[in-house]
Amino acid sequence: MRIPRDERSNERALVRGAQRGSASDLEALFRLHWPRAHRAAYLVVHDAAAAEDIAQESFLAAIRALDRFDRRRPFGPWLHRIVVNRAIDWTRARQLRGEAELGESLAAPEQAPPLDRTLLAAMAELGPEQRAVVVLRYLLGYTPGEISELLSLPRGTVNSRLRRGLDELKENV
Amino acid sequence: MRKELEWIEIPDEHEARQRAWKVVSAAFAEREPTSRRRSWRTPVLVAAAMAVIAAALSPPGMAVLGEVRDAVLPTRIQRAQPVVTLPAPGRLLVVSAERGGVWIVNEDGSRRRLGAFEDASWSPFGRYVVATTRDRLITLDRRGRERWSLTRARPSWPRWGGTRTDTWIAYVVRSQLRVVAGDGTGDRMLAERVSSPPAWRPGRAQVLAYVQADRLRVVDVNRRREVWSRRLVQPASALHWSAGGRRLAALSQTAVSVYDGASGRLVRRIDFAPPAFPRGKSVGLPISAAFAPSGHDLALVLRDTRSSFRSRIVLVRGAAARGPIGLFAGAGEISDLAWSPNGNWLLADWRGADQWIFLRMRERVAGVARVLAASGIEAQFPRPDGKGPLLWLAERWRVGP
Repeated sequence: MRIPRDERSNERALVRGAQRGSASDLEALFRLHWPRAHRAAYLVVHDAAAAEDIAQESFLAAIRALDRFDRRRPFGPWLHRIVVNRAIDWTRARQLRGEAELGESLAAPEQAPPLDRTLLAAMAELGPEQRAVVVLRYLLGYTPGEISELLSLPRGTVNSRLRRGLDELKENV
Repeated sequence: MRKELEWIEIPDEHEARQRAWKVVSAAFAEREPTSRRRSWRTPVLVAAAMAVIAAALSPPGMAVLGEVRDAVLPTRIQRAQPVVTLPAPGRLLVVSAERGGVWIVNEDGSRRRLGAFEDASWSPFGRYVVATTRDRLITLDRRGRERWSLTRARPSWPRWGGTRTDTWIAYVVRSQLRVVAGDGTGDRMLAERVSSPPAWRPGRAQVLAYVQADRLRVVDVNRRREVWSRRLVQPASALHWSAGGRRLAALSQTAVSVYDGASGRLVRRIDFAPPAFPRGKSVGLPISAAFAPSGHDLALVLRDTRSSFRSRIVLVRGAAARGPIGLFAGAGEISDLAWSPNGNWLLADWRGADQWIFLRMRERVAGVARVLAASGIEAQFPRPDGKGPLLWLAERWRVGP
């Protein structure tokens, strides 16, 4: 993922400020990274509440580790690694837990907005690891080499997951 | 492809962002700068080199080598097969009664058995645990290493409260309430004829609530003076402070009374016995309770009066004057509740079904509430005698550093 130089130095300054305790710099970092972190989590887990939790907990994990963060490195990939790995773990754990849904246990909220079923439904057909690779490549713009580093996977595995994922998406959309 | 992925609508996206920012900014405000982790490699290499030299010089050196290895090298921890994974961050302290043991369950489901203790509770920030055996009050770190202990006959209900700089432990010995400082010093008796577990007011090192005979008392332990007290119509079996210490709930056999934490004014009383409820209608009596980690919402377990084989979980909204909202109902006994530290989930020990159920407490997506269920709990916390565990969870889900 190519980050323009200005943006990178701006981000470094924000991280430095946050490390020194500046709430406004933290807020700027949050504004910069929340939308994509949240969206990436949602596209992997396909559950709005869980995506919110995952993105939120990833930010909290980032804050807890902020003092140890190496400012020379970009913040985004660091956060995305946490988000995507947590999203994959959550999806696997849900499969293990055998999740159940109850209809009337809590008061129903307002009508939820309609979902884009087309691409979402096709994404749902993929396994969590494939979804993660597709999201990293096509939403967040990482190269296969960067994805292999982020997910600690061989590059060939990343390429094959991408290829198979795209083939399945083409079939299902 | 990228545009299409960016156009997919996420339900509740804007509100999610606002909620997340509140949590993140609050965590940022509370954070403590963490010190850089010291490398273990240097002391290990030095110690190992010394041990090798000692071994070469004399036969007892082999013993030295063993001691150095035990003392310095990192221990390989045998982790139990993760089964119950927690849906929110934090660690859960699980007490399997009757010397079944005390366990710490991590978010990923890994568990550590601290030992064969009878009861236990977290320190205020989840760094340590205080536990009891038949004849000792013991404090431990999360690895189960003892810090200090006091010899006492049959201590019970250990509760640890306080701030980052000043903590106290309250416990009961044969109906005698005692307190001791968090470093094990200054142990003294506070009151006699105490009949239920005491409860520390969160965030205040010295303020403790307890029930003595027919009175609910709130005292400042350091200043040795009573803050307020109220006569109870029925004896209270449990006390619970709200997270900010602004409310204190007292559970009695048929009612829950909520008091203002500072003044002792009765804010609300919910009667579960007739005549508050229509005659002939099934009534649930309060068994256990837990305040949400923020605000004044109180979750309760109610047991059906007409059939002891049915339990319900309800939520009493702190701000509204409405009656309890039903969350879950099931056959068999539901014994205990614990909120996740972020308030998103409520864990209930559904003993009747040998399950833990995690109720999603945030607003639903598409009008559906979610419950995660983990089954086979008894097998995951085995007792040496093979009997099923009696698990206690109440307010024992903490985020630790």
